[in-house]
Amino acid sequence: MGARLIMIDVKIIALLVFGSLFSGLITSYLIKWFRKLGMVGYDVFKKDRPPIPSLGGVPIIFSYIIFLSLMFVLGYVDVDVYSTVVLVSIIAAFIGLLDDIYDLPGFFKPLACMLAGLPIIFFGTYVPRLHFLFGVSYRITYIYVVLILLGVTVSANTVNMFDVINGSALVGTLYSLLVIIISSYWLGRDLNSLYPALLFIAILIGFLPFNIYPSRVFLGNVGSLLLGSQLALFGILYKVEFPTVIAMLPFIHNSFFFLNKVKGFIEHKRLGYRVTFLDDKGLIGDAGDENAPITLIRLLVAPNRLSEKDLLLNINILFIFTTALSLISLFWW
Amino acid sequence: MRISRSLPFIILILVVQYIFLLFIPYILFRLYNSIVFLPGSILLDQLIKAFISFATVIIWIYQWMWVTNKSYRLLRR
Repeated sequence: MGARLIMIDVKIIALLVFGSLFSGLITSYLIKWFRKLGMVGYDVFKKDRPPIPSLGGVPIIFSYIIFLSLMFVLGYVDVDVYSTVVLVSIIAAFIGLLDDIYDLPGFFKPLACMLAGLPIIFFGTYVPRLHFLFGVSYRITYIYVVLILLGVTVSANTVNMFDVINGSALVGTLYSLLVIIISSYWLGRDLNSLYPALLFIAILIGFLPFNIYPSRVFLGNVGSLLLGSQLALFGILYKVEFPTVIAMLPFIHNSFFFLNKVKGFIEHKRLGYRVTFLDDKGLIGDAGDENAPITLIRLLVAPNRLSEKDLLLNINILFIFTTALSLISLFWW
Repeated sequence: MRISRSLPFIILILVVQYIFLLFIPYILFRLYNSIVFLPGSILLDQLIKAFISFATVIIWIYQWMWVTNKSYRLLRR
């Protein structure tokens, strides 16, 4: 990649900054409403299990759609890209919201999330080529369409499964989005085309102080499915599938084990066994149940118990590591 | 701030997965494309590529789980 001058419009910077501030403001306002409406989940890794508002994805999608629409009106986003991003986001968030309100069966989310991949196919915002090392790429016209549907649902559900401790899904998503932005730019994409992803990062940064340890709001299924679907969408849209998958390795590690042990999509609360437990000192330990899946959290606390805050630090280290791996691989891409 | 003792193990596992993900599909696709005697049907070509992709994913997942299972047993000792 040759040195390219980075020129960002002042209006775009203003949109990103205001988007981030708006996301924070609307989150702080909606938290009170969610509490009043009884939309709460219990923070199981705190000794007193406090009730925490659980529809954090609602302010995220709200801010995202408003500011993305502003970008579109100001002519910064192409109509096909705008329509794809808006529809993918709305479908994924709606599926999550349904699950948050009605507590639907485990197979619902993976099946329904495939629908979120349809706008990408419908608006043709993909190139059916898979890029490998050393500039080698292969055309996979038919398989790619299937991969889009699978990719969106796998990504959405894998982020959803990792939303287990305060801020874990959000920080992982932010690192993965960073990889998407850097690798897309490195591989020759115009910065203008990256505005939707940059906006999503800005919105998430505004939301971050409310979700990071100790959480004042949970993402909920509405938020985690939205986050995961956007990772798949941007990976496909910007043709950086492999770097995205590498950045998401900790997410994938967590969900593979879950699926392998459970042999299907079952909600955590219906599993019937414990993966981890909270001791009297407030430390998280491995429950030692032979039937429980070896999730990433369980693997981290297997040799020594950790506080939730320390667990989040360890998760951050893992994501920093996979981010570095992903960016290193760009040198021979 | 405490670092988990299993963190080096997990990082090692992720490095192995990274190498697998980068090189195995690349090698398989290069091998497939070097086989010149296959008929030139687009559908057959796509089917074989689909098979290679899904076989890679299956092998990837199972070796990943095998390695992690072994690491977990080692860490619990």
